[in-house]
This record gives sequence, structure tokens and C-alpha cells, in this order.
Amino acid sequence: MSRILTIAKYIILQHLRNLGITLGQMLIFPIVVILILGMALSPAFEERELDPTRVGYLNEDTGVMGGLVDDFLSRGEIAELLEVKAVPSREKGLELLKDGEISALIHIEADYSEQVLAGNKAEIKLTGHPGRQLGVAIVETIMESFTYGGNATYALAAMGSQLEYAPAFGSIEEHTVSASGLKPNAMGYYAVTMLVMMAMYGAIYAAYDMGQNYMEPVGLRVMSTPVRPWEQYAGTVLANLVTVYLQALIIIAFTYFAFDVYWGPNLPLILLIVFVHVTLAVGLGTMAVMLTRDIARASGLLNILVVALTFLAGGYFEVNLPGSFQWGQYLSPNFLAQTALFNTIYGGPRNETLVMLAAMAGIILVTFTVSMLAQRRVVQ
Amino acid sequence: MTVFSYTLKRLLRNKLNLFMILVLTPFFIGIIFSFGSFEKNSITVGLVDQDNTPLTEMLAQSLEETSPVFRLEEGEIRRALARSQADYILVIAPGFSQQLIAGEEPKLRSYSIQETNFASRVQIKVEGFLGAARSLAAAAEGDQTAFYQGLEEYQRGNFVLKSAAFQQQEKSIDASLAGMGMLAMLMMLLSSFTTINLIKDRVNRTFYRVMAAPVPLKNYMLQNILCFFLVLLIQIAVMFLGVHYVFGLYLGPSVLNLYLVMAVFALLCVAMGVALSALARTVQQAGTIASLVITPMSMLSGLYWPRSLMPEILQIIGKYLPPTWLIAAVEKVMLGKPLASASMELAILLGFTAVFFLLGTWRRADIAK
Amino acid sequence: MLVETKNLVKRYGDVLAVDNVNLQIAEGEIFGLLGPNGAGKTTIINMLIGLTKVDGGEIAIFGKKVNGNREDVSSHIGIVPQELAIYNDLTAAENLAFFGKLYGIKGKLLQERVTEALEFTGLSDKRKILPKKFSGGMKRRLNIACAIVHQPKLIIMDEPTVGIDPQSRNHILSSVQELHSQGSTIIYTSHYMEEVEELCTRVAIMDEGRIIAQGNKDELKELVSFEDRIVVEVSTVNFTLVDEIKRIGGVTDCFLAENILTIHMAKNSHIIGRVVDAITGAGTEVVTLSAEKPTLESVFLTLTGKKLRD
Repeated sequence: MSRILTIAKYIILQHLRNLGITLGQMLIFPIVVILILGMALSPAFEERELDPTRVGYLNEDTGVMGGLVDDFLSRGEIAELLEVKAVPSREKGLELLKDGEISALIHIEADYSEQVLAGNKAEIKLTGHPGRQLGVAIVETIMESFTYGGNATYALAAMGSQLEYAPAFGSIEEHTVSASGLKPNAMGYYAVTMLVMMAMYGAIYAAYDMGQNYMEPVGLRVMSTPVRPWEQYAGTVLANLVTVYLQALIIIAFTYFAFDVYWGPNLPLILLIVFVHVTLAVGLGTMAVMLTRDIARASGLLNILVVALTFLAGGYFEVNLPGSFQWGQYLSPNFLAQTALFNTIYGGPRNETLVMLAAMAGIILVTFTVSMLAQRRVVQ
Repeated sequence: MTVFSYTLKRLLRNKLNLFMILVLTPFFIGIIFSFGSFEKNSITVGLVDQDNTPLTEMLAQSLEETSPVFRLEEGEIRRALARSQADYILVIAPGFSQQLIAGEEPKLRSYSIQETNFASRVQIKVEGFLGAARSLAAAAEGDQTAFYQGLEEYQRGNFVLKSAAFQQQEKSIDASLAGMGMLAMLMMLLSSFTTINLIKDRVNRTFYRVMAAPVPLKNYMLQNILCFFLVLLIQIAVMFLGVHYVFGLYLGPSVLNLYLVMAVFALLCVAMGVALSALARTVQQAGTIASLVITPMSMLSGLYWPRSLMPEILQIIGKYLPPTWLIAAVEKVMLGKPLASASMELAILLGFTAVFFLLGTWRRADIAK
Repeated sequence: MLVETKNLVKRYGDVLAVDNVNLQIAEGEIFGLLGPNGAGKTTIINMLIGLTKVDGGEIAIFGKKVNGNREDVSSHIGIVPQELAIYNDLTAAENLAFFGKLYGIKGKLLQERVTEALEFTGLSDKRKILPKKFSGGMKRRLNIACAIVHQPKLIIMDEPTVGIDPQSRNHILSSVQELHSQGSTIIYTSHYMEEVEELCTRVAIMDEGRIIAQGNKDELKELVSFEDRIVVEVSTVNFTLVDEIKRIGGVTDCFLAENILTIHMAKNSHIIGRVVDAITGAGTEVVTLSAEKPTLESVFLTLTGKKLRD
């Protein structure tokens, strides 16, 4: 045991000697990035009230139906959602659209009532601004509900009924959940993803130290001492865990105190998840160097891999893979750790957190087993 | 041009560099286009359908006309809201359709985030649909067959909304700008990788040896710079071909102009690399400085997302960073304006280039060190 | 015997890296392992300290089999690897303390041993300096210090002088002798035969995985020096002189090239005086004369037909 501690102590001492790199890559970099991303993207993360969507309205129909559209748009609950601006002509409307003054143009053509009364398809023409997808979708949604009334009236008549259509107001029981405590703001989001990314960079430490053990003369010298191989291995893993985990703790503490990031009600579980993730990173680094048998190549590979895995996991910005590919994100260990952390902080399902932890434990097992097997080939 | 051709050989033999140019650049850009988004462009509806009748199916269809809809279980509601997978979740309890047809007034449950009013948009539509269904149920007087016949009639209705996107003269360049931003970031990365060669040469004394040969320092540096520049030009070309043919990215009315703008930035990247190689003493240091500078700079300059998305203070900081001006120039060129219209932006980029080159040569005087 | 190997074999695929090597090293010796690069010296050393698996044969050190007693045996061995095996991010003293601790030395004794090792290698004033800032020779000395901090009975040095300046080299060679005089047994590998010849009490010569000769220096030289050789530069060329010299009892061969006479003669025949008489008697003068003694180099050349530094 004392030999393991000796090996760990002196490796940590070496980590400290490279303070510039330690501080730069592992602490300053993630903190700066958390700060910038947290600030820059805070609007994108903020849950905000939507202002009414500005919409151009051109009604050329003087008939009954045109009047119904007027009535519909001037109803109280619609007026809250749409800011209707009447335009004198289609050209004028398109101009406003082009300038971005409005998000969409509603156009009722002169023969609208005529078509309806003749039993033909009666179209309300909507022209949307291509860059304002949300606004267009909102106008579409609302105008659809107008067509429901018309069609219902039709259907009622077809059934020979004298009843009148009316929207079913109050037929939805609304429940709201507060976003605070449910999902992170920008700073909270990036504190977690960058913490996870930083821990993954810990793999490079492991690759370097393990590589030194098995591929550099000084590691072979250690092997020539009475130290048992597993003690050397354990000491190195221990040193890496300590260094990377301490850095992770610093980031958690720093973001908590300086950036006011919320880390949830269950700090012990957070610390456990981070520890498991750090172990995973160390395992990954070890595996990389054992397989490549070259420290430089392993760290080059890991550098790229960490960026790619962070991207995939939505570490830099939220990535939404299309439905059938959503499992793809689970390929990134970062995503497993992030899911577990967000669940723990924001009260997500506990059993999912456990599944994530189990999956991470599985990966750890694989990395260390592969490393052991590869190590046997390194030392002949 | 011996230094040039040998440096080029060394750079292109480096698998990591090749990987960066050929695989990583198109890969990242592809991911960004395909799946990344910073701005909301729809209201996603989550549907918990515990009733599963033709009526609820129809409701789902009508929602799908204007919003992405995905189905989930009751237990997943909180999670879906927390992950922003859904903005509005609708729960249809078992027996809902039956009660409605029987003329009762069953209620749906909805879940949404308190701090937003996104949900009310969808709600209006649901209420409209339910209103129609209720009046038809009343007319059918509890007769299920009559109700569904009425509903069919309703669906065939003549009131339709015809929605079209406004055809702009110019194509949308948002995706293209994001693509060029990503390319610019990767160019800076690649350039920091390649210039690390300069430091390696200094560390392993081959630089010393070259200087001992009758090659003037200026000449050596110039050939190196040309070589790095060429590698970046290749990267741009590969990326243009890649994103255009694989991802169908629009490269603006004049690909040549766009290429020229990116080439000016390539020169800046080389200058930054040279400055980096002069300031950093070890390869590791250079790597650390590079990642500490490149990533934050890319973010603040709007390479990852539109600058307008950021708070004002960060936008102001961005003005002092070179890539901001690249994106400004790219935007002009993409919109079909002549190259000359971006001359101020390009001049600023060249100014930065000159400063970096000066920084790079400043510390190189003492070769033996 | 302190170290004894029996029919040691190591294979790498089809290549026999070590081919039935039998070594006997007694306590108090400086044992030289001489051979060109790739002869199998480092492989043997790695097998001695249990770093490389033995494919055949046995090793006993301090009377114990290495296999199964590695920990016990290795705690009394100090190794100076061929390449620098020190941590560049730990100071000289920290490097020594680290390795000392791995050998189980603790506390005050550790401090003393570190100081001694630093003094011994002349690095006392550099104890708190990182080896990054050392010269090549200083790094080599620290490399040695790390091997002696636990005062091992057996010190194995694998090419400790490769690629360093003459001053550091002399320092290392004299420290080997000093360690020897303090009672350590030393195994010294090199492909510099001068070093081995100067230092070692007994030598094994290796080539292509095999020991081709083993013994003390004189014994080895016996192997080749069944004849002595002198080379004489003469002032004028005289062909009858060659025949005349050949007639001297004990001369086995003589030939002339330009004005250089090379004369082979039976060992210890003491006939140089008669040769010189013959030359001056023939009316020529001796310009230079050199008697060539056999060296380990010539031993190697004779046994393998190759030069050591091919």
C-alpha cells in the first residue's frame, strides 16, 4: 500500500510541476468557456414570454366570410397572440415581409365568400418569412383553428343539425412547471458540460503517465524495483484520479461561488457521478496509450476524441438528433455523465441516473480490461 | 524552395493534419448543420395518448400540421420538459373520446413551462378542434357512427389554410455563415497544429541546423509561411467541395469571391501561428495557448452562432477580434455584393495579419536560444 | 556465485535474441558484457531483473531463483538503464527519494542516502533543480545516482556512457571503480571495448545472442594471441631482408608493403632485438617500430570476423 501511495504522490507532484498546463487546459479554459457560453447563450436558454407575433393582414373579401375572419382576429385571446397590421395591398404586405416588419402575411382574396358559398375550396393564403420559422408556425397554428370553425359549421349543416360551432374554451386543465429547478440556465448548462469535458481531458494525463510506465525507460526502471506491476498501475491510476478529481471539485466550487451555478440538492451524488466519470476518463486514456503504444499519438487522438464526444453530447450547444438517431448521443460518455448530472440537479428520474452510472461503470470495466490485455503484449 | 517542399512533405505526411483536413472539417460542419440549433423555430408538442381512438388520432394529425409532435408516456413528462424536448404536453385520459361523444365535457390535461406563454398558441388550436368535436357530438346525440361520419365531413371541409414561404430573391445564408464560421475555427486549429512544427524544429535543433546552412532566416520563414498558407488553402478547397456536394451548402453567388475572403483569413491564421510559435517555448505550451485563445475567440466572434444572439457587451468585445470581421466580409460576399464592398473588413483582417507577423518575427532574432 | 545463468534463452518470434547463455559472476567482480549493438546484452539484463520473460533456462541471483523471488532479489539490485530513466518534472533529490522509497527506505535513513547519492555523483548543489535544466552529463550522473540510492549489492550498468562528453565519461568510469572498491559487484555492458578493458575484472563477449568467449582479460587474449606482431617502418626497401627475417627462429611470417614490414612471430619469443639486428645488418634503418599487443577488439575480430562497431 505504501508503495502505491509513494508512486501516486510523486506522479501528482509531477502534475503540479506542470502547473501552467494544468491551470490552463484544465481550469482556466473550462472556466473561461463556461463564462463566455453562459453569457453569450443566456438568451437562448432563457424561458421567456413571447411577444405577440406581428402579422400583416389583407382582407379583400367584402362578403360574410371575410367578416368572420375579421371577427376571429379581433377576438381577445387572439389579439394577445397576434399583432395584426392591416395592409392596403399584397405588394405592400410582401414589402413589409421582406423588411422583416412582419413574420407572415394573411391574405383573404376577394372571392373568398363566393367560393365558400359555392361549396368550393376556400383558401386563406399565408405567406411566411423564411427566417422566422417560429412566428410563421404560430400564425399557422392560429389560423388553422379558424378553419376548424368553418369546417365544423359545414359538417353540422351536413348532419342536418341546427347547432352552432363554438371553440371549447376551458376544456384543458393547465399545469405548469417552473423552469427554475427543472432545467438549467445557460451558465448551469455549461458548468455541467464543461466540467464533463474537462474531466475527459483527464484522459490525456492518464495516457501520458501510463505511457511513461510502460513505454519510457523511467517506467521500466520503476518496474525493476521491488514494486509489483499492479502496484505501479494502481499508483498511477490513483494519482490521475486525485489530480483530475481535484480539478473537477475546483470547477464545481468555482462555478458555485463565482457564477452562482445551482448544483442541486444532492451534492454527494453529484460528487459520485463526477468521480465515476473521472475514472472513466482515466480508463479511456490508459486504453488509448496501451493500444497505440505511443504517448504522442495517444494524446493527439484523445484531443480530437474529446472535442468530438463533447460536440456529440451537446456540450457546446444542444444537439437534437432526429428521432431514430437519438440513441447516438448515448455513444458519448459525456452524454451519460451529463444526463446523470442534470437528472440529479434538476430532479430527473432517479432510475435513469442509475442506468447512466451502470453504463459508465461498464465502460470503465471495458477500458481497464482492454488495457490489461494490451499491457501484457507491451511487456514481454 | 527546398525548405518549402520539404516542409510541405512533412505536413502532408502527418496523419493528424490530413485527418483534420479531410475528415474532421467536413464532419463537424455536417453535425452543426444537421442537428445543431440555437434558435427555436417551432413549438414541439408532446402527446400522451391513453385513449387511442380515431378521434384522438385526428387530434394528433391536426396538431402535426403545424407542430412537430412526439408521443411519450405520462411518466416522461417532466423529463421531456426539462430537456426541452417538448414545449407543450397534452395528456388524453382513457375514456376521453367516449365521454365526449356521449355529450359530456371531458377535460384534457396540459403541461408546460411556467415562465413562457408558448403553450397558449397550441392551446387555441386544440380548443378549436375540441369545439368542433363537441358540437358534432351534440349533433350526433351520442351516436358514435353518426359522430364519426360528421367528423369525416368536417375533415373534408372547404376551409383551408394555404401556407407558403415567401420566396426571397437571395437564398438564406444562415447555414452558410455557420459553415464558414466552423471552417474558420478549424483553420485556426489546423494552423496552430502546423506551426507547432516550427517549435518542434526549434526544440530539436533542426532550426539551428537549417540556419547553419546558407539559408537566410527571412527566406526560411517565408518558405515556411508559404507552405502553411498552401495547406490552409487546400483545407478551404476540400471543405468547399465537401460541404457543397455532401451537405448541399450554398456557397453564395460567387464561390471565387468567397474563396478569396477565406484565403485572406488563411493568411491571418498563418500569421497567428507564427506569432504563437514565437511566443511559446514548448510544444505543450503552444497547445495550451492555442486552445485558450482559439475557442473563446471563435465564440465571441460569432463563428459558432450569430453574434446578434449574444448580450451587447459580448458583441462589443467581439469587435476587437479578427474572425468577427471575417464573418462580416463573408456575409457581404454571400449576399452577392462585390468584393470591394468588403474592403474595410478585409483591410482590418490584413491589419491583424501584419501585427501577428510582427509579433512572430520579434522574438526570432536570437537563433541559438 | 552472485549471479549465475544456465542455458538462458529468449526468443522474439523466430529470432533467438539470447541463445543458451551461461554466465557466472562472482561477488566483488566488475563483470563486463561486451558486444555490438543488438548482441542481446540489454535483453539479458532485463531478464536478470525480471522485466523480460525467460523463455528457457534459469537465473539465480544471490543464490535465489529470480523467478518467484523477483521482489526479494530486485531489492538488492540497482540498475542504470541505457536510456535516461529519470523524471524530468521531479527535482534531483525528489527523483532519488522516490526510487529510494520504492526500495523500502524511509525517514531519516532515506534523507541520508539521498544526500550520499548526490554527493557521490557530484550533484549536491543541484539537489533542488529539475533535470530538465541539466546538461547531458549531469542527467547521466543522476541516472546513476538513482540506481545506488538503496546501496545495492549488485549494480547493473547498461551502456552508461553512450553519447556523453569525455569529462562526464571519466567521472562515470571512476565512480564505477569507486563503487567497486566499496564492495559492490558490478555488471557493466558496453560496446566500447576500451572501457571494458580498463574497468572489468572479467568479461563475456557476446554476438548474435551467444556468449562467444568468457574469462578474465588475459584468458580472453590468449584466445587470439598465439602470435605477436611487430610493424616496422624502414628507410629503404630491401627484398632480401624479408627472406632474412623469415629465417629467424620464431618468425612465422613476414611481408613488406611499400616500406612497412609486418612480422608475425610466436608468442613470447623475445626476438625483437634479433629482428632489428637483421634490419640494420641489411643496410637499412628502422624509422619507427611498434609491437602490437592483442586487444579485446582483436579478440572479437578473430572470433566473429567483424569489428565491434560495425
